[in-house]
Amino acid sequence: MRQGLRPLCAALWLCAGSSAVTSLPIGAEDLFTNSSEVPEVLTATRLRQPSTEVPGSVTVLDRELIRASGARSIPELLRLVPGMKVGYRNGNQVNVNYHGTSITEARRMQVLVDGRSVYRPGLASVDWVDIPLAIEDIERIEVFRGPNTVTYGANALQAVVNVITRNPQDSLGTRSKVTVGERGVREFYGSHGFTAGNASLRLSLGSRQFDGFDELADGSNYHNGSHAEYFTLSALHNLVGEQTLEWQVGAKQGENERPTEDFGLSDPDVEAEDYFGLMRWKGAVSTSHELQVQGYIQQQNRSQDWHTRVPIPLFDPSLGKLYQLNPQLANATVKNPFAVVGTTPEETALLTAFQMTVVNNNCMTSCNESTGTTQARTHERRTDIELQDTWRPFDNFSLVSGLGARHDRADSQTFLGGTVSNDSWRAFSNAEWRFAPNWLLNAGGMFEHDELSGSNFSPRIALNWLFVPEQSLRAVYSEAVRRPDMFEQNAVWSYQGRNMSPLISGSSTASYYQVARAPGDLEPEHIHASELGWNAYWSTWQLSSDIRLFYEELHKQISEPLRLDNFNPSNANQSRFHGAEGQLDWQASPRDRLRLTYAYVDNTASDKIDRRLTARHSGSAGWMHEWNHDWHTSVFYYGADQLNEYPFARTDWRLAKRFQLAHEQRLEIALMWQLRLDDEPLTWAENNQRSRSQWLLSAELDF
Amino acid sequence: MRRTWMWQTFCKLLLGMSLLGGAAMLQAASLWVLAEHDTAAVQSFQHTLQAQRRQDTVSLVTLNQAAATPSPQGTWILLGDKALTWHLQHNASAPALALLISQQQTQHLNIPANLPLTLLWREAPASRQLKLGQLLMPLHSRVGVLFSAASQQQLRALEQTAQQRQIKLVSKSWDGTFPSSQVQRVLEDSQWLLALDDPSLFNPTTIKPLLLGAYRQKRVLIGPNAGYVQAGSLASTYSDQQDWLKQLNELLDMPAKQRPRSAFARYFKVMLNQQVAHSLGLTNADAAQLAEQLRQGEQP
Repeated sequence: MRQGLRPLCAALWLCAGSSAVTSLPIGAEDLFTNSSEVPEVLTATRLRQPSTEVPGSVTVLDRELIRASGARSIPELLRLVPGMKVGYRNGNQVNVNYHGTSITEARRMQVLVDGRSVYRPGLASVDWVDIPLAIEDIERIEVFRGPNTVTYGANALQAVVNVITRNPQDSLGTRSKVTVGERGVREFYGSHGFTAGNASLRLSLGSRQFDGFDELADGSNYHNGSHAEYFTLSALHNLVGEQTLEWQVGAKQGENERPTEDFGLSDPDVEAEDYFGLMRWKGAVSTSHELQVQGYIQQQNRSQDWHTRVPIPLFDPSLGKLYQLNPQLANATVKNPFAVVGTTPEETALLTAFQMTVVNNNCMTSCNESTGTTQARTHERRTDIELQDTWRPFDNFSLVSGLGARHDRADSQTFLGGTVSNDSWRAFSNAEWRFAPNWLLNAGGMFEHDELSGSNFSPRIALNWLFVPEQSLRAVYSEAVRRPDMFEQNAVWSYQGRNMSPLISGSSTASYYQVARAPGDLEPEHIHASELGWNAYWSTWQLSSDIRLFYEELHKQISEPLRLDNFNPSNANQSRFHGAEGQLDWQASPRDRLRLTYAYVDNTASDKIDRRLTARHSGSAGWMHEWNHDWHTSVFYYGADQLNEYPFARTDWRLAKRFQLAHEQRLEIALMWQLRLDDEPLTWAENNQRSRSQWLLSAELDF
Repeated sequence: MRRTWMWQTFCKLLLGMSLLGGAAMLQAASLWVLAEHDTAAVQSFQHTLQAQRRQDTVSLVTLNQAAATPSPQGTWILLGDKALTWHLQHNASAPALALLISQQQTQHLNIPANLPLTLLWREAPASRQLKLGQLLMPLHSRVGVLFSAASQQQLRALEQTAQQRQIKLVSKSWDGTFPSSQVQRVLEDSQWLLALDDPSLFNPTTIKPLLLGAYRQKRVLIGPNAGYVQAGSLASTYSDQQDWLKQLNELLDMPAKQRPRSAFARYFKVMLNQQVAHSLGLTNADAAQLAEQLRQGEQP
């Protein structure tokens, strides 16, 4: 529950700045109600904030909802979040953006797993399929909708997804699960929770694979599946006093398929490896004062090796040098080697050399070719440490403050021409002040400095008015930044052929003539966001709702697609989003739960590429029902009027039966059916399925 | 004529009996409060009882004093299981009412049924706690219960109420140690947890991991008594000295033979942890109102 670094604020977790530690009316000399020996456990710093007092918009996906949805990945679960746009670049590359922007690079949302950022430091993306995590281990997902750099640091630009896994103390025993289904779905999961001394531990192991989309737009087979194996080991030690020590280690390895590209003889599938270790100590100074120190290290390796057959002239060194001097001339030369002239003696000399290569390799008919291997590898490492202090000196005031330092390092000959590292530090604080019984003010800021992008301060101020006890109106203004990643800022991007045969210019290694170099002068992207929200929780009906109006302006936006032949990122673009969105969660009866979300987003952007992933209308609806004899059903609808110009509508059905077996064993068999309600591709024209429907079956045994 | 005489005689007899009865009621009684120690709280109890029963003499006797002198005549108010045990061993034939005792504590005492003794259970009846939880969370129908061998009786009493109210009890036997797969299973399968008054399960040592684990999984605890509400239990019914004295007063006014063999607290209040309620969004919950709703539900 508290693994999140600063779960949603100081948001959800801390600071119930609330009314009221009401002193309990027990007389000291009352024989019948003497209770002095019972400790106060759920202290103010441990209690979650009610949703009416959160300084922003939050969507919580709990375990019951996650299970009922039948979703097998976090992006699919995020369709339950209003305003979230889930697009697929291919079967194993998912682009999840909140409200929109880039269709190809989803890099404006922070994603944390138990307080650890899984956002790649070098190539600024979230590789959803490569996170070493099983859906079955998730306790809940908290999504902070809107900028939250104040709490989570840079890159929490448009939203924050905070995945919180089950506490090892709450997952003792053994669980195993198998899921099989159409489209090549094969998943295995096993976990065992146990105790050792003062510690609770959980080891989870699993594998997953799927085929991805079936066919390209022309009907040919699409090579875009994925398979992976992973493990995580989580532990929690209860130390003396109020202290706890948590640690986690995990690893994942697998392969993500990529279709064959130009000059390729084999598929450039990505070997993906992720490793991490995390440690967190928590201690209570008093019932109103807590400290936390967290450190983690993670390594993300991506490796592609493929066989190529290339026209020799394109790897000619003189063409490469000409490209460095005059890219346009070099590109024109490739199209028609004898129709261009150099503007300087050096260019002319290089051009002449290249023309010789063209002639010598018989390019008048078809060029001589050389075969070899090409590779693209990245090794990214992040080391992060943070101290956080949560203090509630008065009933109506609380403060969360902290300091953090980070070292990022990325090593990639292909994308960075070597190694790039970046050191950064940050200081943050958020104060919550209940200045009148029904009024709550949150004010905070994050100051960050890093070597590559300089310094930034991101503030937030929020006012919540609880006009009746169960309802509040809020006004929030916040700013946030996204720092250019190492690739945008420091790219030296080139492809090298190795073991080339025949030799090219007498060498077995040769470089493709195009090399992309980053200008290196990018500034962080900035967002200014305002919102007006209405939050209500009617406890009598167990109905919670949240509606908000928002206005967001994104400046200095880096929109240009990063292409080898055209690598010119700049801060020249901007986007604006305004609209309304809402969510409703209703326990309609002891056996029925209903859930609705809807978002209307109006987007204007200076670069049309930033408008493509924004659906004007999107939403979801769900009904979960518990029948007699442990039968459970759920049905969900997801819809978006356009994701990259394609509409999307799908219903997901789930029927489950739970069996209580002997010796505390429990078995759940679930049948799931997904049905697309349209015949459109998903996000891109090549993402097609042969059938609208997909059947899946799972069996889970707990003992 | 004969009929008139008979009628007059009957009326006189009735009047005489009434006067006799009234005189008996008004007759000063000796009430002996037997407690293990003479503490401020015990003295407060004695003084308040005396103030309520001016016609009687309320005296305090500690166990040491009682052991040193023969037991005087009168009605005995026994505070706690040690006082009850002493009474059963040395003065069992005297009329007595025992307070501050639990069903669990008296299970091993094998108290004969014919004694003029009334046992007043200190614990809140589990069915009342169940109803309180239902008032607070009307749409949650799966209620977790952890029990030990000693509290099995409380669980059985609860099952009937649960059935009447269409509540499904998710119960598991537990030994009071942590971490526990039984606790985990009950928290997973239920929507809130009802804590029985069983000190082997719910005590100052176990309450912390239990409450933290329950809260992590968004499960609230109801009960077992007022002391645990301070710790983080959402709510509990409880009876304080004022409630018990009111009930005691009524029982003392009854002839000893008419007193029940045992009873739960008839008068009670509700204690609510406002901070936990607030965190759960139960901002409209009001302890006095909840107690009133429960009282109305218990009226015959």
